Amino acid sequence: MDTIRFLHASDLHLGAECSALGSLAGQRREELYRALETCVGICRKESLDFFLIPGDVFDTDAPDESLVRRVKALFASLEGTEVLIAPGNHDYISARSPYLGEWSSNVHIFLPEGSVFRFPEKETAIYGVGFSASYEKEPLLGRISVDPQDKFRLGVLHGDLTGTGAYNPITEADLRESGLQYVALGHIHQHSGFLQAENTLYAYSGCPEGSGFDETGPRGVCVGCVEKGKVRVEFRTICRRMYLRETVDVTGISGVEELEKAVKETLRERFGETFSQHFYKVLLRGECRLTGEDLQAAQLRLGETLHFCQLRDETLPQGHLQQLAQETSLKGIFVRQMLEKEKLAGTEKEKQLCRQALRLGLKAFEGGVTDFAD
Amino acid sequence: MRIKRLEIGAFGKFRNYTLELEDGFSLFYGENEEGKSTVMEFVRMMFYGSSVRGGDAATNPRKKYLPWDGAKMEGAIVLEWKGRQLRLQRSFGASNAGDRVSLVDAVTGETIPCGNEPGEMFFGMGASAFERSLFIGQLGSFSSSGDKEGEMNRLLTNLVSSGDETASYTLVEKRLQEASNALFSKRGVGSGDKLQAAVEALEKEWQQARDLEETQRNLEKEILSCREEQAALGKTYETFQKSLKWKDKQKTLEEWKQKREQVLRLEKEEKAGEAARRFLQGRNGALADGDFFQKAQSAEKNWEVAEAVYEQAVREEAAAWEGLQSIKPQQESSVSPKGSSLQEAEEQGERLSQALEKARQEKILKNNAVRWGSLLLEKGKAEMEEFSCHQRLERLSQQKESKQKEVELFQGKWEALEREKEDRERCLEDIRISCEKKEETRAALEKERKEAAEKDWESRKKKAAVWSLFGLLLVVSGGIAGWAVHPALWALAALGVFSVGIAVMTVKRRKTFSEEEEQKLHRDIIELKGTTETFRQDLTELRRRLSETEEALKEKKEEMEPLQQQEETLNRNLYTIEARKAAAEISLGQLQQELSQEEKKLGEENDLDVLRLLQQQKQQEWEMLQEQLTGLLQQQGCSSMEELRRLCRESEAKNRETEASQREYKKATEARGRAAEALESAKEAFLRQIRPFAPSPETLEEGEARKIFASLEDARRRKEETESVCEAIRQSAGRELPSLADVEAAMEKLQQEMEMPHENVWAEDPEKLRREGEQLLEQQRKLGEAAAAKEQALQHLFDGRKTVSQLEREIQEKKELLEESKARWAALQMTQETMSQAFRELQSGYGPMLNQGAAEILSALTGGKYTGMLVDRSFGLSVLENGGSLSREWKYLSSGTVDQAYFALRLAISRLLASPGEGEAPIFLDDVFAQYDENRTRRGLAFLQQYAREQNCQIFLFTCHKHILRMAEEEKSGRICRLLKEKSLV
Repeated sequence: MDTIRFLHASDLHLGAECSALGSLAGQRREELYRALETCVGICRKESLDFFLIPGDVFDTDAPDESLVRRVKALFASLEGTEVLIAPGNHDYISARSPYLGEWSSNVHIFLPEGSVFRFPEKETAIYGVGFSASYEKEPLLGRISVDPQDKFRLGVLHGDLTGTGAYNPITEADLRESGLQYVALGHIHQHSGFLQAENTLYAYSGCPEGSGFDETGPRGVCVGCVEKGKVRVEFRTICRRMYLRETVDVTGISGVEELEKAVKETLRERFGETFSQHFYKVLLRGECRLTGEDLQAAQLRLGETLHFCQLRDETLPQGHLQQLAQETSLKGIFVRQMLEKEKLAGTEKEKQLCRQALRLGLKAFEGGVTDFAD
Repeated sequence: MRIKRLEIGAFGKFRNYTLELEDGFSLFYGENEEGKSTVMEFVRMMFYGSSVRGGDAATNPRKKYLPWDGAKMEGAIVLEWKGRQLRLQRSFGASNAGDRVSLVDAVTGETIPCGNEPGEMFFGMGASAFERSLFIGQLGSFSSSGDKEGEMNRLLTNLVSSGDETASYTLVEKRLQEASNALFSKRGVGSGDKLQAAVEALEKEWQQARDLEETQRNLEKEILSCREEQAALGKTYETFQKSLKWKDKQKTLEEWKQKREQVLRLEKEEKAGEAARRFLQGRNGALADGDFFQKAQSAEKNWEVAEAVYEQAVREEAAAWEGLQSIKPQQESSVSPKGSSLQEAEEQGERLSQALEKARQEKILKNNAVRWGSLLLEKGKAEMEEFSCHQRLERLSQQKESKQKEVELFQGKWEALEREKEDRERCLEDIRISCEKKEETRAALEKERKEAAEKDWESRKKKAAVWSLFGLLLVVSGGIAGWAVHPALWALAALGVFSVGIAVMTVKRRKTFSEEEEQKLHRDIIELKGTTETFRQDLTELRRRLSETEEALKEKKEEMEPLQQQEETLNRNLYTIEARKAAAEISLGQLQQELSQEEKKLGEENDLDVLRLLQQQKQQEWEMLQEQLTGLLQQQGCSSMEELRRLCRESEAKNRETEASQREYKKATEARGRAAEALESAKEAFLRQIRPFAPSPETLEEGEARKIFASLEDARRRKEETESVCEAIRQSAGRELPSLADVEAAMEKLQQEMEMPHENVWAEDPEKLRREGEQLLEQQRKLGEAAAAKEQALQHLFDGRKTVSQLEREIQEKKELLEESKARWAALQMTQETMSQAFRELQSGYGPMLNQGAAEILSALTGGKYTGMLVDRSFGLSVLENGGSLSREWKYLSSGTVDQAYFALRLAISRLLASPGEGEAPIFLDDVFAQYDENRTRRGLAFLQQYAREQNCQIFLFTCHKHILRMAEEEKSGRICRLLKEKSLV
């Protein structure tokens, strides 16, 4: 066999609560499962030899039985592709783990003591280690011993590339000395890019669908091949929705509709016609005359168009500040002093603090000091 | 603004009360309860109403000042404002919103909108500022804390600011502080505090989850260990079971072997029995049955008796003969011719021996002769008796041996029966116990069934009663209704009948309770009882047979006893006879020696040679005669002639005796003859019995017959024994014994099935194996229970709990929110700080004005004692003494000075807040000098009068103190009025 082809995906976290999404939680859980279906679809369409999943397929070590049945059935339907799973710190192997049950013959689970699965017809050996608890403070890579005689040698590992920590610390040196041609890593939800440690190529694929606003941007999987000793891998975005934090300048906007339009146009410009299907936290900045009620109304209207949108008000009263700073009223003196402080602030964070303090002070003069989102 | 007149329509105690007011300083005197506070309150409420709610009259002026006569509270103020003569009218409702307020231009009649708080319009301040400046109800300090809206601040700020302040610093600060507290408060109830608490709680839960994971791992290990141990115990138990099976098979094999032995033995015994039976069959259909043996034994016994009789007869005959023979020599000696020569020889010998130791030799010789004869006789008798004894002993020994065999046979039978009886008794006991248990179970089931049946019956009875009652009621009511109202209502009666029917069915319907189990138990019990009965019968039979055997055994033993005794007697006799015989032989030997010695003695003496020769001759003759004599004497058993004579006499007597003895001998002979005949007859009878069984009946002899009979008896014994043994074997087998072929086939099959057990348990006793196996099972069960309990615990370990990773995610989310809250709170802190700085900067604008204004007034009030005042933003103040360098806070001043200071402050504020061009607003004072001494009072009055004049404002002082009135009159301090004089009160 000259070439083997594989798909590398991890951290699906099937069955996660997604409670922060409120009424959208159920839909989001199904979308996470659909990401797995997309991966399986790629494997089937492109006739890939291996589907490597380095950890956290499920969100817990004892997922719901109906979910497990679905996953088992999905993998069982994948003819011609071997599925290799290294349980991670979320779906570690415990007494209640579904990995201890019956799986179809094309599914191979790596055990905590380290194991290797050989596929003689493909001249491939795939090594891996699974988690047996939420934490693995000792490096697990040492539990496998790679035979250099195998033509194709892949690794599947859930761990932390920082080299320290409680989640199977992995160092570059470990990878370099592993003897593996490609190591599919899991645990970090952000794609790392493709890294090289001498003859070993390794990468985090990241999660195929984000699960919060700390996982912003496009998400996907790695698809690659090993041919004539060389590894070629590419990242493919497959996520249906992205979590995005966007800043929209609303300077001069005075009405709800205008605000809505400005936000939509900005997002469309940035994310295309499919912009409405993503999760947004939109920071409104600039000077405007919008009140809290305006912003609340705008959020409701945006909610009808966008899948998920939270507005954050960081605006300031329009055209008011410099004029106010000239007054000898309490407000004027306050504004002037705040602007001076902002000017003197060293870091952006301090400047932002001054801006927020200024906003809150001005709100205090108008009425209650509440964010419209409170 | 100028207030011209107060027209109190109805307010408190005032009814249609009018008070004319003038410019400048006016003092209104009224004693207590004359209504000065009421007038003050009227003024305040006319301008600002009252927002106080509640039914408490102490706090709600609308309640407190309700007209006593119940009239609607109302009034009017006539005033001059901005050059216009206005009339303010107000009719008070339950609240400000319920008040009807109107402001009318008294000249033009134009209604001017003024809201519910026209004071704001007139004085440019709200009620709070009004009360702190123009309307001084009570003196004393005040602070901004009571001014929630911060109006004072706002107003003062507005003095120096250029903006249109809609919120004062106080209000802004309050909002900021509220927002800050909403996030993090001292009491920890802010949203940020809650987030912090939530994070801490989640972290605690996270730690617990980690502990639970550890517990989970430990439980998994323990479960694995339990299951492994359980499996190991299971393997060991399997080995035990294999060993036990093997041992059971081995036992079964042994049993088969025993069966085989039984079968073989049975066959052997049956063969032996058959042989014995054949042996017991004689010629011509003769059978050695019980009848035969009875007859043969009887014949034998007769024969023995005849033999004994014969022997006795022989002995008697012998005795008679002996007697006869014993008498004969004596008789012969007394009648024999030799007797006379003997006598002569005796006389000669006597003469001869008289010279020589006649007595001694004669005596010795005689003694010796006699002794020799008697000894010989005794020896002969002993030998005869010994022979007889030996014969009898031999016969007795045979009998005894025969009896011993019978005894042993019966003993064996008895022991077999005894064992069988014990087995039966054990079985019976087991059955009895089983029976009792089943009986108890059956009784319990019966009891339960009966109780259930009773309950069911009670239940049905109740139901039936209810249905019956209901039915009867329906029948009655239906009948009456059908008869009286409408025939269709008879249906009710029908329904009632139906209900009664249901009641009947309920009673009849019986719930059958399953008696199957009970009946099964009952059948088991009956069966067991049947078995018990059978066993009892068997036991009774066994006991009977045992008893019979015991009796037979006892009988045999008893029969043995006389034989034993006879044997002992014969042995003793034999011993005695042997002793006698030996003694006679010894005596004979001794006698021979004595005789030799005497001979020697006689040969050594010289002077007696002739005599001796003669004596020798004579001795020889004498000896010859002596011999003859001796012989004769011997024959007669005498030792001397006298004795011989005596013997002759005796001989005669003896002859007579002899004759008698002869006659006796004859009798004895005849008896012996008869006995012999009888013996022959008995013998013949015995032989006749035996002949059919003899190989040569014609030549059958005694010994052979006895042997044949003994053989027949043996054969009969053997037959009985074999039959007994066969019976015992069949009974012990319990049922038909299988054939030898079946047994061997079963054994072979069993041997093929058997496997070698594990070495370690091969040598163990089966009972020990079973016990240990049970212990293993128990251990295994306990391990299984422990493992199951742990698995159960493991399964529910995380019930209702979140996992570590879930908690970590939640903590992460909460921490993000917490950071946002903290950032917001930090921003609020910055806002508050900056706001405070801004206010200080602002305060620096109006503060000096206020301080100066208040200081001037204070100085005037105190006669120049205090010339300086500093007011902070919360209207705390401190005063500076004239010439002093340190200011003193109001807390450290006397109450009178504090009153003066705050009075000065109020006046200063009112002066500052006065609308430009309008002059100051009127000032209302309610007995503000009550605490003052006379000097202060005078200065105060003077100040007020001057102030009113300088500021061109109205000052109205209400007092109830006469001395103030008097001082005012003395100082001529403006207009002095008496409240009561103005108008009547209600």
